[in-house]
Amino acid sequence: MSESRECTNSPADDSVPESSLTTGELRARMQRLIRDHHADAYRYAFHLSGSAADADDIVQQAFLIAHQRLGQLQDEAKSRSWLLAIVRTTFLKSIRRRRPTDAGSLELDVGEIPGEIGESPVDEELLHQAMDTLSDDNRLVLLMFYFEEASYKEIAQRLDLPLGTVMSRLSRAKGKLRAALLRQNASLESGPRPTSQGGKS
Amino acid sequence: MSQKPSDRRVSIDCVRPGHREVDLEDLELSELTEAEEQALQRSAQLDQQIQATLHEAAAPADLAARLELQFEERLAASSETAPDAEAVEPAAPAQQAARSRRWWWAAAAALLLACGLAPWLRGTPDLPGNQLVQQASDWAEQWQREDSQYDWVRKLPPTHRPLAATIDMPLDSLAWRMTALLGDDKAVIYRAGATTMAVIKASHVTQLGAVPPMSPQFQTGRRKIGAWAHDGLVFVLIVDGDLARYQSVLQRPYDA
Repeated sequence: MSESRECTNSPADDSVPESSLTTGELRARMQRLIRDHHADAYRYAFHLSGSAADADDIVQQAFLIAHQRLGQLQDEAKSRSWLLAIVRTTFLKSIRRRRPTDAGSLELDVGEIPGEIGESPVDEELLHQAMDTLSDDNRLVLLMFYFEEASYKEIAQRLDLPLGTVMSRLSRAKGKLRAALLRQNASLESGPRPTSQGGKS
Repeated sequence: MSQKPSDRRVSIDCVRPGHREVDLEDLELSELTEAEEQALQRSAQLDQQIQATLHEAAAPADLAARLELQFEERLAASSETAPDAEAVEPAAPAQQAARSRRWWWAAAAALLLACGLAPWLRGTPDLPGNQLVQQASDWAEQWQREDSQYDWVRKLPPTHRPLAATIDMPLDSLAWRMTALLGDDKAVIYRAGATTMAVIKASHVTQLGAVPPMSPQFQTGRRKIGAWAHDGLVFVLIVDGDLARYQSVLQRPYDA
């Protein structure tokens, strides 16, 4: 995992002062934050960490930080993305303590993967397994893309990475998932795929 | 179209769902070939499927309640050092004493509530190590009976539940699969020949050592089982064979 760095206005920035909200305001806003976004925060943490137990820990920690920093959230309409950024930062801090093996060397060449993925719904467990095979760097970029709906430029800025690095990680991660889904589709078909009688077309 | 086709293919993967026009312009992909347009549509379809599936993961039913409880506890604890901004008016000594008493009663009640609810919220009572290895014996029997139903993965060992470094399992015959054990839905079972190892994240298992036991904690005539906990994970080693075989699987104690 590369040393990702949040920009100075990040939600989990330790330099941000404590909340100046009254207790009543704080309680009301925290209750809304929990009610509206706890499930999304958990899903994000679950897919980032690959573990239900870790996700639980990350979400609890993230909400503790949110409690401390709630005063800096000026626009409640942005509370979801603000909270998800805290979840991401909390996850990144947790994995710096236990660096896992980088599976980057096992990645596929995106160019070798055909594009047709079919209409069938994606199997959740299979997708989760495919996520597990991604390197932490690639999974992080991919989940920021899907959960935070961040553009490649925003991801590059938030992680302090070159644009090209983000683009290639995103494409590589998608390529691996695409390959996994193709394998799923192949296994769903009954019997072997019909082969062309006329050779290559 | 100054970019190389391979670079353009990478750029297409960076177009976000619902932001097609903005992102295409930003990525300087205004003139797409027919093949690129198809690739973009396939990418969008993939995005849609993945996003839908990612959002299917269900949060624990009691998570919101636990978060609210955690918040209330923190609020009660912090009110001692940081007075409520709504109550900045100086209070009379009698009011201060009454407020202090109320606060202590509230703090005591919150503590009692937290202590009482903790096992219930956690939902998993402590499991002593000796009971764990007995359970593991049943697991081993079940896994053996149902072996043909499982799909074993023969490459890419997972990093979230790594194989213990102290165990000698030949990599060329190593296979693994994920399963749910002791409340951990991402537990991993490794298998190589007569050796099976379960790696589980389970904080409620108690009375386990930090290194693999040289003497198995549970054994039958043909099976030896040892368990230990290290770095937040529980390892259960199941070896079909005699004591010498069990001990041959153990390599060396942890450095830590």
